[in-house]
Amino acid sequence: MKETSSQFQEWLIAIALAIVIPTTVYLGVVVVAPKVNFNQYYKVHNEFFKDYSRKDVEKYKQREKEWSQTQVFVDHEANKCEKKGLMLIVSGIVSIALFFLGSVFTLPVISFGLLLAGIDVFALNFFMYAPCNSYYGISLLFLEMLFSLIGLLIVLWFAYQSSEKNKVTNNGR
Amino acid sequence: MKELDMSDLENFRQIGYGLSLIFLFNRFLYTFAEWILFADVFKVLFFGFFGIAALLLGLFKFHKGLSFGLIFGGLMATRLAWFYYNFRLTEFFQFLVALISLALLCFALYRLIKKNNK
Repeated sequence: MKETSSQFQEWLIAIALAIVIPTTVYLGVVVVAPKVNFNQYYKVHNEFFKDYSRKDVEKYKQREKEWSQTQVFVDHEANKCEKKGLMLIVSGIVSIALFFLGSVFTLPVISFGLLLAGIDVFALNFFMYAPCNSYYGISLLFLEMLFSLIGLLIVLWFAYQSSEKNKVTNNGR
Repeated sequence: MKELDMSDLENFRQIGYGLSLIFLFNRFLYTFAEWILFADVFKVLFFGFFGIAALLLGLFKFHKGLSFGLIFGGLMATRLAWFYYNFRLTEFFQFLVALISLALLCFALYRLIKKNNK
């Protein structure tokens, strides 16, 4: 009975870890990242486009070009890109640590929870879409590729070792 | 509640490996293809090649979590090949990739049924 309840506790902790760790990472980045005030931005945006209708396509497109050169727009995009970059770096490092910890942890259920948390943390980048300018955007893409490669190699290595151990056990029977 | 023994619990670690592999494998392939700026037929071939290679390894070479991750990671990678359609040649390659994946799965299923019937 005692062992059953400790397994149940393990499960609870594993699920809690998979929920709490990504939430903590996300909120931590939001606290330190530059603030993106969408309400203020769209207030100014709507004011700027007040007398311009989408039906008049040429005029609207011209206005959009003018809008893209305003300081409000430039600052807004820069803040979004900085936030995305920060989230990528933090989530990349944390997810790699979680993949490693999840692979080496002795308790298998906690290990499962840590690996799931690693996936969730890495996936936080999907919520931070920002159309960053070409060089910055390419650098972010490269970083994301690098982090996913490192995580992939770590998990591949430990999964391969486990697979080979299973092959040896089966051949020994 | 029925108590699970260590080997049952160990399967959950393997599931964790598998899910992580599926996610990371696909994310890496996708970001790599975007970074290299592959287009059209090359994108299809790129995802198709790695998807089928992973499927082959997962079905016939490895075991447990690695096998699970490679099979479903490979299937999802081949599915990425289906996203990009611009002209007939690309559609043909997409169909080819899907057909090869299906053939491999059928072969693996045939081997499994033969093994079970022995």
